[in-house]
Amino acid sequence: MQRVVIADDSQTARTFIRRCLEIIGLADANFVEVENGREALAQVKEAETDLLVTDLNMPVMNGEMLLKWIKGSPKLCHLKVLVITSAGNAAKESELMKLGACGVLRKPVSPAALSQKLNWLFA
Amino acid sequence: MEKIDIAVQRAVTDTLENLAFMEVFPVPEGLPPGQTEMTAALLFHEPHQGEIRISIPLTLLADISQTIFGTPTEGMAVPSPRDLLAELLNTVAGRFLIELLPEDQPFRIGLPELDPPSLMETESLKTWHFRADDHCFSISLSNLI
Repeated sequence: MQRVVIADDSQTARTFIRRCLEIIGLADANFVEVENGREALAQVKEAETDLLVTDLNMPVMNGEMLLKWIKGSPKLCHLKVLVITSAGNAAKESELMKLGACGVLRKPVSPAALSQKLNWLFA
Repeated sequence: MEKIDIAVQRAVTDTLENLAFMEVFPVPEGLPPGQTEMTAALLFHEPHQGEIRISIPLTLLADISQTIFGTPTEGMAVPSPRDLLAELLNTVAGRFLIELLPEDQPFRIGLPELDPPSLMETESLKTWHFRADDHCFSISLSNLI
């Protein structure tokens, strides 16, 4: 079973993203929902994770800092990180991809957009 | 129509249509009196300082929630109306700045604040009204314009 961690301070966003992921074929995944980057970091350290979906704008630790921590860790740097944000234009997307994100999507996300970014999950 | 009007309209319609599959239309007038509404505000930090706020009837929030989360699957939490409103505003705010600013212009926004203190009526305050189904709601911008 695939393990997916969703980090967003909004329950609405977490539920919406989870629903979209279920629609595109991850209905059987083990979803772990957290409210900020620090909690996400603890979760991905705790167990092998297939995908981390994170917001950017979060309290405590934001998504960009979370991405830097993950890509800077020898144990976690292989983890695929998808950023879903309302605060992302082309400039931000390019910066996040350089930091190691596997994709960047703008809110509101859709199952089609997720499916396109995550086709490697189903290969 | 000014660029800022177009940016607000696109941000609101894109958000509601994609998130809640709801058609939204601009209207000249606001809510009829007597409707109970909820308000949230969010600050723009960079490249300009300002505030965006949304005021929306509880009945419309309930409709949006029902559309998005009507039949939750096992283990799925249904968000509260307050959380839904905060995320709506967060999404509208980001879409608005993406529409308004050049693609290579970085921007930074704050976190949504629910039930913010009332805004002073200033020359830089502008409000847009919208209708979704049978409900009206409004978006206001201050200091940006």
